[in-house]
Amino acid sequence: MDWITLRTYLVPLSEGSLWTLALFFSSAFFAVALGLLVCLCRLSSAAIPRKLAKTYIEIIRGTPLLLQLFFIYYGLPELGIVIDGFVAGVIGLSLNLGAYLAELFRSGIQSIDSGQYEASRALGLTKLQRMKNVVLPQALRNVFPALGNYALVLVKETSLVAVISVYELMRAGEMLAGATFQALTVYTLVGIIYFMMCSVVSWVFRTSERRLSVPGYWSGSGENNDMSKA
Amino acid sequence: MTQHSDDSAAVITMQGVSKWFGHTQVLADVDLSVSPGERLILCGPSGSGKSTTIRLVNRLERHEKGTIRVCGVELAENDRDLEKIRGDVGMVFQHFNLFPHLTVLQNCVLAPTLVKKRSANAARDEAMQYLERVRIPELAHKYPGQISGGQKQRVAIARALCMQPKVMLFDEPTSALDPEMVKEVLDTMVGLARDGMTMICVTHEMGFAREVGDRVVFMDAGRVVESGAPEAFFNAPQTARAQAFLGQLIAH
Repeated sequence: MDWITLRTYLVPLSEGSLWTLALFFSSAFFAVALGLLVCLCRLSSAAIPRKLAKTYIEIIRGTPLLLQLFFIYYGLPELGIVIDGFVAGVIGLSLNLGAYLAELFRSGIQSIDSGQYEASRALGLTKLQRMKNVVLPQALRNVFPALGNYALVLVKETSLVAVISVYELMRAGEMLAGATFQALTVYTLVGIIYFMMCSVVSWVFRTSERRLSVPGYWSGSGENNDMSKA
Repeated sequence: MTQHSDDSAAVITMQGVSKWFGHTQVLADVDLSVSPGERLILCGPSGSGKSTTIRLVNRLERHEKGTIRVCGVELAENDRDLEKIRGDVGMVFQHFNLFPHLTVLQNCVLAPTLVKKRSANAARDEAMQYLERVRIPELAHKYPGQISGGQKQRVAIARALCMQPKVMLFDEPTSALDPEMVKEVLDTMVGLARDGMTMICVTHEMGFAREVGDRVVFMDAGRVVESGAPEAFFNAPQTARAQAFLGQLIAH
C-alpha cells in the first residue's frame, strides 16, 4: 500500500474518528447530567417529578435506540422541529443513556446502608452535605464498574447515528468502502479504531477505579467488593 | 420516679412523650430527665422502646405527643435549630456507622468542618486529641475496613466527641462486638464518665451500669417501669417485669 492510497483511507477515517469522539464526549456529559437529575426526581418524595422520571425511564428503556434516533431526526420535522443531524444524534444518545444511568445511580444510592444516613444526620450534616459527602462518594464507588460498561456501550452506540446521516467514523467508513470497493480493508480499519477507543476508555476506568479504591470496602480490582459490615 | 435534680437545670427533659409506628404505640407517656453530668442507664427487653427514646433526643425519630427539651431548646415540628441540637448531642450506634470511604481522621473532622465550620487544621488537631483520648491515634490514617470492631466503636466515640457535645447517647454500643472487644469500648466509656460527660447509655452491660451509672431506668412495652440507683435496681428490683428481665440476664 503506497502513501497516496494510505492517505485516501486515513484522512476520512481520522476525521470520522474526531466526530465520533465529539459525539461520545458530548453525549456522555449530557447523559450523566440527565441521569443524575432523573435519578433525584425518581427518588424524590414529590409525586409529580417521581412519576415523570419513571415514565421517561420506562419509555426509553422500552423502545429501540434506533427508533428514538429516527423519531428525533425524521419524525420531529413533521411537527416543525428540525434538528441538525449531529445535534439530533447527541440528543438521542443522551436521552437514551440518561435513562439507564438514572436507574444505575438509583441502585447505587439505594445500596447505601441506612446507618450512614443516621450517623450523618446525628452529626448535624444538612441534607445536601449528607448527599455530597457521605452518600454519593460511596454510591459512585458502588456503581463505578457498571459505569465503565455503559461508557464502552456508548462508544459503540455512537455508530448508530450513521443511519441519520451524521458524519462520524462508521459513516466515514461506509462512504470510503463505497468509493474504493475495499469493504474488507475499510471495515477492518474502522473496527481497529473502535477497538482502540474502547481500550482507552476501559483503561481510564480501570485506573480511576484503582484510585477510588478503599481498603476493606472497594478493592478496585472489580472483584471481591465486600460491602458487609464487620 | 426519682428525679436527680430539678427540671430547670436538666440537659434533657421528656414529659408525657408518646410515639407510634403506624398503629403500634412504641412509647407511652415517657417522663425522663437527665441533669448535667448524670450517667443514665436505659435497659429493658428488646422492643421496650429504649432505643427509640434516645433516638428522639437527637431527632432521628419524631415524637407525636408530649414535650422534649434538649439543652433548653424544645424539639418542635419546625426544626430550625436541628443542626445545632445535633451538634450538642453526640451519638454512638450499635453498628458504628463509620463512613467507610473516609479514613479514621477524615471521619472525625467531617462534621466539625462542615457543620461547625472549623478550619481544617484546628479540626485535625482536635480530632487527634480525641483519638488519643480513645487511645488509637496510630489508626488516624487507616480506613474503617482495616480496623477491628472495638477500634471502630472507639473511632465512633471520638468522632462524636469532636463535635464537643454536651450529652452523649450510646445505643447498645457493645452489642455488635466480639466479647474480647467489649472491654476496650467500655473502658473508653468509663473514662468519659469520669471526665464528667453527661451520658445516656442503652446497654445490658450490668458491670458497666453499676460502675458508672447514677441511675438505671428500666423500660418495658414503651413505658418507664422502674427507675433507681444501680445497686438498688440490680439487687432488689421492685417490679415483677424488672425481676423477670434481670433473672433472664443473669441466667444468660
